[in-house]
Amino acid sequence: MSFLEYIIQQLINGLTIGAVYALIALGYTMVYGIIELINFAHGEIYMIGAYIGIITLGVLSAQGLTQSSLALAMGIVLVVSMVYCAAYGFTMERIAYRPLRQAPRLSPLITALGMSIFLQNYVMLTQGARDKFFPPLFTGGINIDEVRISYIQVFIMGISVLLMIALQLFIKNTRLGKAMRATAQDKKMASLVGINIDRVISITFIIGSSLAAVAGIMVGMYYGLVNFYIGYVAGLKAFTAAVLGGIGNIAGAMLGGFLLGLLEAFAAGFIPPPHGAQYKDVFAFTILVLVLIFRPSGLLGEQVAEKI
Amino acid sequence: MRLLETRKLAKYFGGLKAIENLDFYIDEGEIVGLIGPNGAGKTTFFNCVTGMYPPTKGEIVIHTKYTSGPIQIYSSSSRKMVKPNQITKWGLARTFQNIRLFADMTALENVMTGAHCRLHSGVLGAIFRPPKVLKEERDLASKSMDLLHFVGLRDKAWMLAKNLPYGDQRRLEIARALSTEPHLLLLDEPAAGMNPQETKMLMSLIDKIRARDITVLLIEHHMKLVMGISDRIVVLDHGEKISEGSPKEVQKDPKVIEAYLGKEISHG
Amino acid sequence: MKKILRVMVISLWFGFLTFPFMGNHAGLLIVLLLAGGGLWLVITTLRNTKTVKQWLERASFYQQGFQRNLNRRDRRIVLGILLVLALLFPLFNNRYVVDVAVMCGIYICLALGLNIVVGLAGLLDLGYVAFYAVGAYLYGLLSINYHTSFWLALPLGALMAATFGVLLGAPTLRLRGDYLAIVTLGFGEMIRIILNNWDRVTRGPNGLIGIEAPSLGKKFVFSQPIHYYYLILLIAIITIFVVNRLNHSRIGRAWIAIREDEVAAEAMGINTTRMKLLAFALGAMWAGLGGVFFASKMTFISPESFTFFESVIILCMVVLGGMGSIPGVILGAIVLVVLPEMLRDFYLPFMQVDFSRARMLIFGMLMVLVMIFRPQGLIPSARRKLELHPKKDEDILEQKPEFVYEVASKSQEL
Ligand SMILES: Nc1ncnc2c1ncn2[C@@H]1O[C@H](COP(=O)(O)OP(=O)(O)OP(=O)(O)O)[C@@H](O)[C@H]1O
Ligand SMILES: [Mg+2]
Repeated sequence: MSFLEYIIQQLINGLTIGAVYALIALGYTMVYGIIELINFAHGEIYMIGAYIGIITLGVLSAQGLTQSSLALAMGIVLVVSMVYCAAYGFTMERIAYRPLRQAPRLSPLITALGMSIFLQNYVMLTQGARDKFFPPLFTGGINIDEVRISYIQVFIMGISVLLMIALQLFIKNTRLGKAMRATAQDKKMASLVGINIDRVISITFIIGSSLAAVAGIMVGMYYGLVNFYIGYVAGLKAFTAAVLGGIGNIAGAMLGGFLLGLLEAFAAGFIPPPHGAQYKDVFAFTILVLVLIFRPSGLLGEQVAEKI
Repeated sequence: MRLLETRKLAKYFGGLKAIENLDFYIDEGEIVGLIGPNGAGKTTFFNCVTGMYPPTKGEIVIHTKYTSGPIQIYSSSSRKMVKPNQITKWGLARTFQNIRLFADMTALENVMTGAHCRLHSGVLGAIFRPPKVLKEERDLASKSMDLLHFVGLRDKAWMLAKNLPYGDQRRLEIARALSTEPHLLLLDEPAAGMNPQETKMLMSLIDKIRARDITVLLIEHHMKLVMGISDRIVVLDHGEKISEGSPKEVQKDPKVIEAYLGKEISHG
Repeated sequence: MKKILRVMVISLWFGFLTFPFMGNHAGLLIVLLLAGGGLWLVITTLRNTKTVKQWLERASFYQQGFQRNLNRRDRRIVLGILLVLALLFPLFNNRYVVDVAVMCGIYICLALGLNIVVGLAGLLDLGYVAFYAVGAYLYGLLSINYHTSFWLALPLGALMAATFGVLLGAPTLRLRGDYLAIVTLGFGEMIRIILNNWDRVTRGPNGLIGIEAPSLGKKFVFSQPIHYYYLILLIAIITIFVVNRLNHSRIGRAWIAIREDEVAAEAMGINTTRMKLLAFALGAMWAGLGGVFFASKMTFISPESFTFFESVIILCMVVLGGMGSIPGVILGAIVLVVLPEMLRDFYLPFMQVDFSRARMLIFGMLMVLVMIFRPQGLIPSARRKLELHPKKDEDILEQKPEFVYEVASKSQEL
């Protein structure tokens, strides 16, 4: 494998995982844009998405659907998982955040943390602490010289980009999307012109959670396994991506996701294997701290002075 | 003594010029009113001179009884802003347009907290409470009670700030600012949300503050109050000074009338 | 009628949510939720009836009266009784119970330390356990490699942890609250990863074995739970004393001001950066102290004792007890140590797991529920209580009430 090929291969791997980070980061950034809360439990929604995916897939393959029509089966899995995650996200907002709109800032942070711990342990207790395996559905891939693009990678990037475009269109063009943008800019004003803030917030959670569901399934298929702990790491990384791009900024979250994916892929080449996995997480975290200290508004976010 | 002076001060938010080319001063013993339509940049001016926002351009100099000479707290050349707490220590104290009390503390504690920068006890003093610290705390408590009495809140010393009525909260903010023992007090719309009776009380309160040798700079939309009490008025519009002078002069200035045109001048 | 419908819809909704994870047990959950909702309905309707309302009012009247009348001397008596009880406690209990009490003591110190950071200064620190680890490993390494005395290590551990607090705080305290939470979380993990991987020094996951127990002179070596009990009791009393004094001081007021409104605090002349750093350092100190004690008691430590969940448990104690409230946090620590012990053999009905495995689940739920239904915690901080008896000037400071009356009369003249 030549150096150039190595670079291209890492580029592809980085973009694949970056697409997933971007999808999760969107949830963080959208919620933050609207209610200025870091939803710690967002990573858990992603994990739940992956689990629902496995469970649904299990049912479908028992019915023989995965053998007869893989595309249909995948579609059902995606939809079921999105619906469930949306329901979880919606419920979470109702239980843990809505009652605390007027509370001191510390309160919703603590409920967010509590929610995250609760969901993690809830899945661990009901589904077991051991890894669960995704049945390999797409195998094979495309080889160009020594560079290999697996079908899953194509699938992941394709779906992610599709969803991101859809989201942009939704936010730019639909009434609801406009209401979301208005709410993000000025909640008081938005409610004065007749926007139902509570509903907009609910919708934001629903959209963010459905995107996380898709990310969960895709990562599950990519790595072939999930466990109750994945939400924690992925959450931290996606959060890093969101901050890197400028939290509250949707395009920034996408950019940050891809960028972090690439950075990680290339950094992996330089960290020796024995502790590789553990230090890889430290790597993302180091980026987070550096960004927060030197450019807290991120790449695309604008520096805003708190109005006094 | 010239307590505060700005030269060619400017503050931009992105493309928005909140303050532009502002020359301003206030001398010891004056009461100066700062007026202007909504969004004129009055609050932004306060934020700049109290160190909350670094200006974009210009120069700010203060000279109070706490400083041995004039001190530049900002200048275009150094582009370094002195921190708000240091400015407070040098004798500038302020209130906020959107009340920012310590909501979960009692009124008394709010005032006691204001004196933070005039006290000296550290960690060890707090833990071992030697007689010196004990005396400091007691003096503080009695002084704070006096201040509450001064603004008319003595009976509400034990109430949590957040449970006070609006007008009381405004006066508590003044008491808290006074507790920092300022030389120059900056009040941002102290009469906002007050009823006529409270406003009258406020006017006499400001007079009493002046009697304590504290200079007052006042932002106010309530024209009767600000015209009745100020020695000098400065009018801002779109970030620029459009007029300056005695209340009488300013009221006649056609530029001022134009700036307020279409906007009703409140006569409270 | 509408309420009944609501309860049913909510129950079914949760049944739907949990179905993929719990299968048939989701049905059981629905039944339980329905029953719970029904009970709640009955209680609320009962509450609205006249007689019960009167009872409740009377009860709260007595409670307020009790608190109002608890003046300085009474409080001393109560504290004295509590102290005697604490001193006699191990004489009437077996080793196991005393051991649990020792754990309570450790967590009281930790929770009170975290309370400075979270409860007073309002900074969400999710990596608090890192400072605990610093203390424990400091003594562990010193003891194994140099046979350093426990008594020397105790202040060293506190100092070391405080230093780490400053090192972590200096670059990060400028950040907004929620960022700080994430960064401290990452810091805690990083310390754990380092402990796990720096084999040459920390011996990695195997941990440190053979840490020496404290001793007094040459002869007396700590060996029984009761020895540790009295030691931790002493440490806890010192902690309570110091934290209480800090709370009611110029520094404590500055911390609370920062928690309430950082911008206003700065405008009032408080050096917020310095005060926040101080909170971090002083909070970390107790964790370091607790860590040294923990290492000496266990004589064995490994990174497993210092996971993120430990931070969460300590935070939970602070939140449950009442942020900023010293008696509250103490109670929170005791409850969260004792309860899991008592429920050790209790099986959760429809997850088929015993309580110890479901502990974190319940703690997570507890954090959410407390913040929503009782944000002030089990025992609200004294500042809130002050409001129950306005005009009672003797609480102006804990000292000499007559002085305050002096103030009052003086200000009348003004
Ligand atoms: N932190 C900020 N970021 C962006 N723009 C700001 C900020 N603070 C103030 N502005 C803008 O600067 C302009 C001046 O605002 P400022 O609050 O100083 O006006 P004001 O004279 O105090 O008005 P009012 O009488 O309504 O209080 C306004 O257009 C405002 O929107
Ligand atoms: Mg203003």
